Amino acid sequence: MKKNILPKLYSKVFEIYCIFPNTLHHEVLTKIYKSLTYPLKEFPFRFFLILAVLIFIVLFIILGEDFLKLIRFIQYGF
Amino acid sequence: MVFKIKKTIFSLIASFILFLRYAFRLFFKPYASLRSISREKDNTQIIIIAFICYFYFLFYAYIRINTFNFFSLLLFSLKLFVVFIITFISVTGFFFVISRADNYKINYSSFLFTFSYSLVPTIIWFYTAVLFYFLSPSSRAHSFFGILFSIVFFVFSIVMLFWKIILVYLSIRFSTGKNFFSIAYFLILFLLWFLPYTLLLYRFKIFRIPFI
Repeated sequence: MKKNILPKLYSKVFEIYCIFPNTLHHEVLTKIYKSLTYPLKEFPFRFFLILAVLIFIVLFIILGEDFLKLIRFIQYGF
Repeated sequence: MVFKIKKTIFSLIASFILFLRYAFRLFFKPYASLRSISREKDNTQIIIIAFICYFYFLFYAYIRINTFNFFSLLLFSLKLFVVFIITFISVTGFFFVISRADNYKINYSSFLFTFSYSLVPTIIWFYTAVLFYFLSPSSRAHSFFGILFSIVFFVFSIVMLFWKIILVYLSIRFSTGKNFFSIAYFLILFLLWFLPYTLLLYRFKIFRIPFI
């Protein structure tokens, strides 16, 4: 049992530490960056959905009827 | 001989299952998934992703040309597929070359794997767009349900775009090992040539929204 666990543990630790931690060379900026990116590491779609709805509302207010042209362009963008 | 064929088939099935597993995990844990993907060695997964992309071009060719003539479909879909391959190699090659400038330990296969898997949101969006066009063609924006559909599709497109941006960022991060500022600098350099290239593809009526 122990012989099987150690190589897997070793490879997992090696995978996790394959790159250096990300820093922005400034304590406050790094803290802000870490706090913003931490929730995006697991199931980020809960934030994407909220952001997408907000973007829709803002664009609809700013662009008005022209917004429908943008939507039509995206719908036939394939 | 039979044993070799069996081994190949089982290996293909195993690679396909791995691909599905990674694609599913990309949805829930993009960071941990791409970290594992950057260390992958199974090239069959890339071939599976390329095949899925080609199948989309075949489906799109049928909608665009509206014929079952096999030769026409093949020509049209192959043309799009070749442009897609050129774009993909240009994008991965660009990031590989500029990141290798100060680190010779970087290898190209890591870029191939991570950027291939970053195609998952692209594939989902294009298949969805074509499917909705096929099921309910134009003039759907004029009714109440048409407008509602447009809103839902717009929100869906923005969510896919955010997912794509995150996956591209993580692809560069795990393939190069660079920090946030370096990656932002690489992306600015990338956009300097990619945006005019996208306009060129639009001008020649190849892709409205680039398949990348």
